[in-house]
Amino acid sequence: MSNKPQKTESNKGKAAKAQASSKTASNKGKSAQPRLHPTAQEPNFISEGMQRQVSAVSPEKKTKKQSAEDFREFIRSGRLELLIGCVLVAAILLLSLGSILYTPYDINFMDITSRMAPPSAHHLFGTDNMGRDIFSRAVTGGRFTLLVAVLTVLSSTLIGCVLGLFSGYAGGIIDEVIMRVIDAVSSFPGILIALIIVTVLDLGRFTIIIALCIMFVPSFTRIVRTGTLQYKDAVFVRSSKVFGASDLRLLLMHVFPNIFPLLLSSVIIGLSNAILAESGMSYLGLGIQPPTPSWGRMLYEAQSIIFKAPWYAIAPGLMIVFTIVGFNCIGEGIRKKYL
Amino acid sequence: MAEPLLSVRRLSIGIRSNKKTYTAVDKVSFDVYPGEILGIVGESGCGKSITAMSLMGLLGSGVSVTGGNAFFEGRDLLSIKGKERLHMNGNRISMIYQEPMTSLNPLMKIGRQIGEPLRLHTDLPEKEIRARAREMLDRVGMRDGDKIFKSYPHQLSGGMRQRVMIAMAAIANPALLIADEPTTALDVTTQAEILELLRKMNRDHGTSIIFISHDLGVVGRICSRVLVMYAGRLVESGPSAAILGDPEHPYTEGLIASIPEVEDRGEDLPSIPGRVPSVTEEHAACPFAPRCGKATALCSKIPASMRNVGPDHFVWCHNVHGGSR
Amino acid sequence: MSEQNSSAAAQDDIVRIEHVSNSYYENQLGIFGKRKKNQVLRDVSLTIHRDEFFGLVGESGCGKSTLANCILGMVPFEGTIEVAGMSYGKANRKEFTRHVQAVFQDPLSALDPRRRIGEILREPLDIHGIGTKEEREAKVKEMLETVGLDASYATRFPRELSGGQRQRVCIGASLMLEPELVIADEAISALDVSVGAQILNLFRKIHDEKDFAMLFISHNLNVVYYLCDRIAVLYYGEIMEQGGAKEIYDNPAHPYTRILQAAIPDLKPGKEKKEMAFVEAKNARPWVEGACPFYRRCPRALDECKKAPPLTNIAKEGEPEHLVRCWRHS
Repeated sequence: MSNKPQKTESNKGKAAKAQASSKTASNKGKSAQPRLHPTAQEPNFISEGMQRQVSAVSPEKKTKKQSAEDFREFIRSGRLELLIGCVLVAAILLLSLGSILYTPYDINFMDITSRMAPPSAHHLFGTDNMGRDIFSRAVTGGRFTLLVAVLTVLSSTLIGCVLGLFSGYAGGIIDEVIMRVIDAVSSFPGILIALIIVTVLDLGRFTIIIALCIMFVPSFTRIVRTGTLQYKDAVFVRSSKVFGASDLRLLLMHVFPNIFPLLLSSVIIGLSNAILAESGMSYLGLGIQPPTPSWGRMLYEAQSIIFKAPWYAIAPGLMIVFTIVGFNCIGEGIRKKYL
Repeated sequence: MAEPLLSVRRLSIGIRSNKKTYTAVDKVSFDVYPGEILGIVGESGCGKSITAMSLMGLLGSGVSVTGGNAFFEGRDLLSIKGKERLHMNGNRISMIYQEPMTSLNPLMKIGRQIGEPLRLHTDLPEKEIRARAREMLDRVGMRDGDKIFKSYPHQLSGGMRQRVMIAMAAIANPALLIADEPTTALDVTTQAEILELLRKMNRDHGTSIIFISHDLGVVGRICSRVLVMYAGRLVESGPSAAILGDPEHPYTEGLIASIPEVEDRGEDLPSIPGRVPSVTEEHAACPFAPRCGKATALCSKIPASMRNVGPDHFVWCHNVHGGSR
Repeated sequence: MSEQNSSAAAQDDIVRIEHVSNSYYENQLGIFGKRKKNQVLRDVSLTIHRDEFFGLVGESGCGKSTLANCILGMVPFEGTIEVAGMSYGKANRKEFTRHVQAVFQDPLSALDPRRRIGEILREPLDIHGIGTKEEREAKVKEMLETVGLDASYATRFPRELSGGQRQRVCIGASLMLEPELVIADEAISALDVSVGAQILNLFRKIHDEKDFAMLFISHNLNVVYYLCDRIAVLYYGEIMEQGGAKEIYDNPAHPYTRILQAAIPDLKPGKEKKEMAFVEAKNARPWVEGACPFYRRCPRALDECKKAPPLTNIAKEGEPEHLVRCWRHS
């Protein structure tokens, strides 16, 4: 409770006191002031409320409690997460995209003289067992990993949106069929699907994208379907229907925009999952094929020389961690801020 | 009717937003006497509900009491915490809310739910609690008590749920019951039943009730005394007969005139223009001045002091010349 | 509808509802519980004339909102409903909506939170492809002024408005297509009394300027008396009483109408009405199959009331019809 200055003009106070006692007196003829309550006898009884300053805003001197409250508000608003996430992701993106224009060394240039060199001024993150510069390979690998992740998430979001909107809005038998197929797909181990696709299809770099896409579609479909179910019976959708809007218009103009914040947050968290999945696949040798670098591929290669050159594992590992923390922070921030 | 059961003195409540504190309730004082039904009236956003919430210690985050006291049974309701607060809520003071669906636990059977306050506040054996809960169902006028006892909230209609809420609030025999818009979501016929039930509880058990509503007609039907609030301040208080029959403040007049009646057929209702200022807006010395047809230059400069215009009838308005001061 | 004036008034009827029934299936508790059939509307017939305010009164669950949804074509029903000579069908849905519009109870949920007021008001015109872009914008501005807001509101979002202002937007949006019928489903129940009064005044003002009929649905008889020309009282999916507002107010014939009347708080405190006793008598009698739907609650039930009473006209010769479904008036 703040200690506001209690401005009490004595004449008003007296009047108020008279009022107070007259009030009690008229109230069933008993004039006993409640003795229990010391403040009740304070002169500025009721009318004081009206003597306050015109402004409803309190003086701007912050108390400790208020700054604590403001800090909690800052945390709750999700701005902190958004900030951290954006900085991390921006840094990773800058490095990865920068690798198109410039890398300190060619990614496939092998310097036989300095194999497994520790981090130094020449090689920022050291070199690997073939004398290739790890920094150059890590930032270039980031480019491929991110490309795979973005393409995967975009395509699976697109498919998920169409399926989810359709399934949720149509309902009935169509909904049942779509959702049971989705259930079947998601009950199948992702790695197994990837293995099958990689062996059956040979599309080079893009095989992994198709495999990951199939793994990711079910979750997006479910998210969009749940949102559609929530909004399709909303009064504003109904009222738009009364205006004569077609089903497609209702879906695209009213249902989808309202699901969007939820979807955006899951898409961004989905990005980090895709990065992890790609790394996992590449680690198993199913993902991006050598000599193209990727973070997962690099981790796989680092495994055999982990004791001789631990820095080889640290560089892509850290990149993965930062990217995922960054994306998760953004996703969480969006969720807190808009949902 | 000797000492007040609850006496609220200069209660102020602030809402913190955008690093500023806005005053939502501004030094409001009133008394609740044993056995009376006190009505608090005003449009939404006038600070009625927030006043009630502060008495229950239920203010949400960012909202806090910035001054004043509320004495109840020798304690200050605004400062008690922890065990004392738990002892108070549901036991000595209870509250019923506007939306009876969301105020009941959907997974708990009615019978169990009604007994909850006793389970928390007494050492009565479970059997006794169940018996009392069953008895409460009869007391709130539910037919088929045995069936209701075993049903879940979603199986009941809105009016029945509100009866269950009242049974739950009253089972521990509280001295004070706060009813926050308990009939707003209900049909007029169900509303009439609930009002009758509250009046019966007040008559038979001497429970004091604070009845909050935006409808002066409803308040007039049940309350003995009425406080009219506007933008966090009191603008008029008095016996309900005086307030309804002879309102002094232009705001009260406007509220009464807004209720459609058959005599108004074919004419425009004399409604109050404009809307309640939000707490973040700055307002004039008399917050009602911008909407008031009788406002003078004085109204926007100096806050009106309290004037006595009849037995126990007070009004805060420059244009009322009662036996003031 | 009664036969004698249906032919004369046929030209003036904007809505004809004939023998409409509606029921839905409800899942009962328990995993293997059977689905239970619930009859909501039972053979409802009524007409709404051009340019009149028609009030529909009843408690929640009596089927008044369902009837509104039937007219809007939102729920399936048996019987016929014609609006401006058209029946609702999947094919003519768009055409149909030009004739009927609706205002819902809760204005906040009736407005898309992610669209600006201007877009919301323009949407009906966009859907029907009326006018050029400039003409639409002009119409939106005009409508904002009609409903007592100004053009600056077009760029705001629904959450920035107060409850009353939101309801004004909803009313404006419903009038954009210049429909012949507007259905207001509990349009002022969620609002403060003072704001509700403003909205009622707005309805009257717009009605002076434009020609449209309104089906005004409410549980508050006083509001309906105040606003409407004719009233129907609905109970348990059946019309209990129907007639001119003034006539029903002065001479309520059905006990249920009297209860609804008595339940409204009177502004003169202490003036108890004896009908309050009726209100208390809810479900006082055991249910009898085939009885008058109001039999269980009726304070004045007779022995005949165990049979369903017909809807009879009790108006004197030459006066507007006044229909009552009660044995005491048959």
